[in-house]
Amino acid sequence: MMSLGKLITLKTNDNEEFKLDKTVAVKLEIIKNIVQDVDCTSNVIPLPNIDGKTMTKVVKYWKKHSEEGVTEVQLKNFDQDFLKMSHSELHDVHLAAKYLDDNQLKEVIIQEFLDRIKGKPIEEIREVFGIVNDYTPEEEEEVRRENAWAFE
Amino acid sequence: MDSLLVSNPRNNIPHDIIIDILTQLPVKSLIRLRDVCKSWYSLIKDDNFIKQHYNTHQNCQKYFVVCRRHKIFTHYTIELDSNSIASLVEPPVPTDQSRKAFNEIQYSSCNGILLITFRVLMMCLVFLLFLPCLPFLSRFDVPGLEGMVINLQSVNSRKDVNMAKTPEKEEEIKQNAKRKHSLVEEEETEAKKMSSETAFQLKSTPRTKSRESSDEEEEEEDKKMKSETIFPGEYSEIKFPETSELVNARFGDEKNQSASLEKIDEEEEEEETDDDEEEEEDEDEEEEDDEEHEEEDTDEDEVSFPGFGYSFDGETLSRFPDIKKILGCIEDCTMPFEQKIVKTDVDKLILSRDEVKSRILPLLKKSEKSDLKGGGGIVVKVYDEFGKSYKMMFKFIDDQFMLCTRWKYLFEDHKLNENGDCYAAVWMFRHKRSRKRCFAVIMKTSKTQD
Repeated sequence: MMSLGKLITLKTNDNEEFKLDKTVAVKLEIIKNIVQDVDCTSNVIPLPNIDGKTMTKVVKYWKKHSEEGVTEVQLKNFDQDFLKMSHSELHDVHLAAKYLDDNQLKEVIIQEFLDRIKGKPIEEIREVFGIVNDYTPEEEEEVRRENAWAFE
Repeated sequence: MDSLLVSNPRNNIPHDIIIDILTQLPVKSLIRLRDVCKSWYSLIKDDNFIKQHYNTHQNCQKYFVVCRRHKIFTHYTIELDSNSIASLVEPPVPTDQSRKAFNEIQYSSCNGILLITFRVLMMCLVFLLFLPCLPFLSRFDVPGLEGMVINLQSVNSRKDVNMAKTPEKEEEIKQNAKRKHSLVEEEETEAKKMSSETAFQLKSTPRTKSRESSDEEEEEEDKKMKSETIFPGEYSEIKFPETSELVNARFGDEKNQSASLEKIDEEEEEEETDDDEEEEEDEDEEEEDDEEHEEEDTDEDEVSFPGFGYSFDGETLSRFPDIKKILGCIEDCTMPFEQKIVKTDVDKLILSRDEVKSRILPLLKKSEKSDLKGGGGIVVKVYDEFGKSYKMMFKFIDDQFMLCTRWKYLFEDHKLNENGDCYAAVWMFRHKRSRKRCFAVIMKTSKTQD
């Protein structure tokens, strides 16, 4: 097997390449599996589901979280800044995290979504998820009536 | 995966992310979110989603706690992993405090579903289902119970799910049920004694009656039989099981007995003192009959409810206001609550906020609620114990619920004074025919009232 400190190359669907320290990369289940199957020092791992822009963010997150000597507070602040992105970017990162099977990142993002929709009116929630209201006014009224107690 | 991302334009989030997010939410939020769009509506209703939601919340440390203090059961939800604040839940079982009520409340749970059973009439078991996802299944048809269950469901807390799930919790519930059961058995034997006593009285009294009244009596019995058979139907319209009816019916062993329960109750007290004075009793009976006829005159087509053992002793609040004139017209009646009349209640009656919120508001229509919130108030009829009605406004002002406008007339008519210890028991209901919101307010002084 490979020795420590070697770099692994990840290639996104728009041909951007990311070189990652192996110690960082094998944290992730999916990459670990590939690494075990293939000799990654010579091969590039393709990530067909992720574009460069998103991957940049993910790698930034990984690097910060695998740094040594980072305090909890620093990480928290980092996360806070990290999550300052548009709804759709957030979705992309979530999707990437899901593909890469990074549960930690996934949870962070889901929590961010929950915070974004918490206590918000339905209209804003639709906006967050880019959903178009497909109810007719009558149907909406009907559903609302069904839900009456949840609106209190 | 590949096609998922590519085919989905930005801003259109793939289904599985949505599922990930929604499964984290408490049930109450989910209900609200059904309003977002049709696909969310069907997603949230979906069996698999419900399962997934259940699994996600499986480890949440939420408990449903039943406490028994004196003869009152209270129900809480408590979350152990947060700051451990227990929140009071709308009672899923009637909170009748009388000794005979609800001997056999049982709690069972499985997969996040809490089943509460208790007896209402002799034969009739009531099932309450508390489901994390109940509103999605809320169409299950146990008459009259839906409102209650939903109230329980709408506990204001972060995670409304999985309250009855973990083993410890089940244990707890079982223990509670057991404890209750044993406590209750004692009461039951006591109550049975009582019931056999009353049964005896029942058999003896009618026979000692004079002839003249026997016809009327038969008629009366007939009527009562009717009211008994009609009752289950009536019951289905009522939101909450009838506590005091249960008190009566629970111990009736024969049809006949339960049919004449009203009589038992009314006679019970007399019997204790004057066993031999039959004549007086007859008079009483006749008076009673007269009253019944009067009642019929005013509400021809209505069947009167049986008596509910209302007493002025301040201990038992009957399920329905015991006001003869209106008994037959009551629909959607709230559970009663009692509050002390204080100095500020001279020209308006300020109702206890908690009681209004837990009992009255859930029964109001949306339009009525918005009237209330808008400050305009709702026009209501308020009946006193003699059946006299006052037109009042039910208002929400300065964060207080109150009955105002003509409250002062009622106050004056009852010759209440500001310093007397006076209690008002309050019910809200809908008048069957006029469909209007009504309140019933029965005044009691802490001393005896004649």
